Amino acid sequence: MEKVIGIDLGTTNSCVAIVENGAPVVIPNRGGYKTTPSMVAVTEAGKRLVGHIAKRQAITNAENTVYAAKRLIGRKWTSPQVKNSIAMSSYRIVEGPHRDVRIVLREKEFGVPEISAMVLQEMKVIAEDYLGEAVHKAVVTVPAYFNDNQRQATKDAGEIAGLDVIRIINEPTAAALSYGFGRNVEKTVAVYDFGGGTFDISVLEIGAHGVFKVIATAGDTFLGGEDIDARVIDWLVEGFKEEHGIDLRQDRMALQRLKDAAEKAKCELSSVRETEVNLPFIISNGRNEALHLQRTLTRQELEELSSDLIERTIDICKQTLEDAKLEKDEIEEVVLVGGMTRMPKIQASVEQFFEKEPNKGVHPDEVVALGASIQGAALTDDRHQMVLLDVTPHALGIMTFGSYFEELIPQNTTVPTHRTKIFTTSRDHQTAVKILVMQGESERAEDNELLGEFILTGLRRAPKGTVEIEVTFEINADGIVSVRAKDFETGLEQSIQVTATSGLTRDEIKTMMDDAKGDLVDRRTSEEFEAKKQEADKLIAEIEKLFPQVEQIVASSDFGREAIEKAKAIVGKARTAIERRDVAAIKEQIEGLTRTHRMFKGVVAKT
Amino acid sequence: MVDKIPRLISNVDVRTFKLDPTDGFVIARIDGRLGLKALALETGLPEFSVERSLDKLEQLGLIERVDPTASVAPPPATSVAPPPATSVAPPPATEPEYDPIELEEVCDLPLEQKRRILDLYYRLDDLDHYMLLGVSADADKKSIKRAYFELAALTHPDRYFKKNLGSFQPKMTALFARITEAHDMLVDRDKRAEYDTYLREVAATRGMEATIARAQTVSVSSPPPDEIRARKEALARRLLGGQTRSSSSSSLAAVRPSSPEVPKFASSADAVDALKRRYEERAESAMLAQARKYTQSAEESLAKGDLVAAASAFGIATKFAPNDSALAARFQETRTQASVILIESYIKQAEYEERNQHWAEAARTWQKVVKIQANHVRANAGAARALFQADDGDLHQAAEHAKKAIASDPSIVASHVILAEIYLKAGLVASARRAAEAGLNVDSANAMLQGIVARAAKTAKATGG
Repeated sequence: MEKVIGIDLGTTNSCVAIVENGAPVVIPNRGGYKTTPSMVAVTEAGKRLVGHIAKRQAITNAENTVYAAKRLIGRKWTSPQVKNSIAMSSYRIVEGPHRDVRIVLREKEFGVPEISAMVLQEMKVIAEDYLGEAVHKAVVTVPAYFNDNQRQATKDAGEIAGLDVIRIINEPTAAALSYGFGRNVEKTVAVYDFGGGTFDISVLEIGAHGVFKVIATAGDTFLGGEDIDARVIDWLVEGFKEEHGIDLRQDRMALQRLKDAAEKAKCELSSVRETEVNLPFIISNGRNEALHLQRTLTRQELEELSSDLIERTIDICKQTLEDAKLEKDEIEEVVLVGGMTRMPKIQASVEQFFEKEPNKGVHPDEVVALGASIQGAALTDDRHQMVLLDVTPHALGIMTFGSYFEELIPQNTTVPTHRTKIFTTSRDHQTAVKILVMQGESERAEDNELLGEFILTGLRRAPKGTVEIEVTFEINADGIVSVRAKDFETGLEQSIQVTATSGLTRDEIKTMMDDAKGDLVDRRTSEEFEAKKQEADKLIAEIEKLFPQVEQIVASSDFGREAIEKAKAIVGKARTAIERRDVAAIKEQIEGLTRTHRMFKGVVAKT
Repeated sequence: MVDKIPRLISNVDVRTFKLDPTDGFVIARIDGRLGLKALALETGLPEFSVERSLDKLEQLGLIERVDPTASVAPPPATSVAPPPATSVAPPPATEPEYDPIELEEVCDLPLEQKRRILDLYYRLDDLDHYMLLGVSADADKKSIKRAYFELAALTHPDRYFKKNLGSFQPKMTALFARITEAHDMLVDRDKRAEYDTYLREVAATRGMEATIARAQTVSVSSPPPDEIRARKEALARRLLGGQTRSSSSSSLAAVRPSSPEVPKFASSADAVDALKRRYEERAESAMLAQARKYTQSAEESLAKGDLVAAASAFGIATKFAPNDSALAARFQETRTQASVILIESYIKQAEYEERNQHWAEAARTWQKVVKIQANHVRANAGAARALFQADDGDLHQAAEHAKKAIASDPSIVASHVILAEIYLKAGLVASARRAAEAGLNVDSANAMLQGIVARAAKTAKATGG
């Protein structure tokens, strides 16, 4: 049977898992890490880097390193969240041809799904290396509060990466699957998921017969660890400004260093009470003097900086329970997910709100990917009898006359489902109606997300309010929304399937897929380059370390001088090969380097 | 209601019992196949006397009465019980309502799964939320959820992801939607309360329906006075050996309490006449006793405020005393009041069903109103609309209801519109046009109707040319 991997495509880190011998396991990457940074960079030489490699060079290549692309995926250029990101990001964000968002790296524009595809491809490769076979199918997780556009864009990203995304599931739901897997429990569980970029809360019932039913879900797709980092950055920047009168934000490299330092300090404060932020030579002043940033941040200060954000998550929890008509004491277990839940203040706030100690038995960084792999197995493998009853995270409806939003499928409706409502014309002699399919909770249509539109024509010319149009919404188990409008009198019908709204056209996705195919080969060779470069660099470093010693020993003999010249030549050639990124040449030089290194060691050892 | 068939109990010596000639006559004809009506025809006796004999014979343990069709014994025909409690009956263990051939469809479902799905699917219209989930009406949240989870695991499409489910796929989707609706409604305190109110309304009217049905059964088993008279004459003819006589005894005379008569007969004809009269008198006084019994039962029901039971009892009473005009007036009065109550309840139910888009149920409920009051405009229009909306609503019936609504009140344009729409849906363009034109006579400016006329004309032209 074909293997299905589960991918947690996170804002800051991603994770891949698979069910093996009936148990879900996380697959470590080549570096042995169980999570991989969701970072993508393009080097000066035009090479694409993903994961740890991209993160390592982020400071020196800040403008061409993308992080937190998930915050932009499936969003319209005009959305406030995108505006917010533009101000915060060290990379360049521009408007695409379909009011979508594009990212510029080394003068080339990338769609956001394209960036996410690179991360997904990396996860795919990690799994393939581990399994020793090709992987084509995946279950990918998204924040519960993602709207249809964001989900579709994530699916597109999978397609570009060469993955058949058989299902998109919600992160907290995945966490609950992982929590409930193999345990024979009947429980009402709240999953508090505070990740790098998003906050989600879901309430689920784990029942008999392997059924997991989502009761309610809510969240904020622009509230995460990154926002807490931003608070720390602000604090550092303001402090520096007061002291030196210089705004560090103006310098992209300084900003990237601040970002790193802020994240590091935040993480450290989960285990220690205070930490020092030390960034020497952060910037130079007008007199060309180098300035250093050095400040001590205490846990209490961090908690004060982030208290309103934590409060916001608790407010959302409260609202969710109200929506679900559940009392706090009906929640039998609280599961913490996401890196931010390591923060003691967050654990305390959750405990205080739910009036019970949260369950810490699941690994906050891995549980989502594990859940995704479980869902993959449940769908494709008859041995895993598990059914997930998910809900619509947002209400679905259409825009009506006067820019009102008319809801057809309420929030938190179990899918698959379908609903019908009858509408009528709004103008006299109106012969066509435009059905604008929207998603959201606001009564005002413009505050909601537009998912798609279509026109029903051929209506009879009649005074307004006399022609009846039946609109039917249908959501299948895959979460795909289709909308049908029917003129009662003529029987004329129009429908759409709400897809391809990620800001990319089908053709564009196809082109990107084709690009990605080339890219896959490209990526694999560049990995080899990285490996060989490291090997060569290491040998060069060791040879150079021995140089003075060896020179001293053999300088007296002609043979020795010759050998030194030869060694210098080999090192020089190797350096050139590395600069040219010529993998074959590097391999060749490695042989010479190894010989030289062995010889040098021998010379030193003899004396 | 099905007639029960009297059957002789074997090993009982009939001769040891004191039986009157009528009983003897009846028991001689019991063969285990003839029902009440057939026995009445065979013996030439009025049905009520056969009934009385059968009652007596049954009490004596000489016969038993068995239901030829149902295994469950229906309540006794003559008792006028108050409507049963609001609890919902468990799903009856009936024959499968699906065609077994459907089980043979080739798909990736195990046979047992297919059977359960078909069994539930074809009973969907008859199951309330509790019955569908298989829980009792007072089930707690936990057991409702457990039942739901079990059915969800059976019907959720993910259980058979990317498998071939054939025609079971849409059925499972429909089932899943219904069980989810049931679950979501029953676990929500407010929605459940509203639903329970609706169910009580249904149960109450069902109890009333049963009362009425029983009353109607009584009316069937006691023939109208004309028939009784005809029977009596037939009996007299037979007794007189074919000699015709005018039915001299007016009904009023017959009802008059009999005074003891000295059995002195001038001729054999006189003797027969006297016998006949005595027999009639006995019968008539029995009828009066019955009438009194039911009148009393009606008054009791009335005192309890149960108008429907009272109306039914009065109804039965009037059949035993067809000439009691005061009784008839009371019957009419209570019946009208009972109808008002029933209709009010039905309207509440239908409105709830319409709100929840259960069109088939709404259609049935509106039709019940029509059954009580054939010319109820709103109910006819409602039934027409609901049948029109229902997935496989009977458009012929829908049109009949719309027509009745129009006949009762032609001035309501909406009735014309729905009739035209129904015709249009049924593809009867010419009829739609006629209906629309009739509607335009009421409201010449109605755009909807104008549109239908215009389009019908166009279609006619297109098919004509």
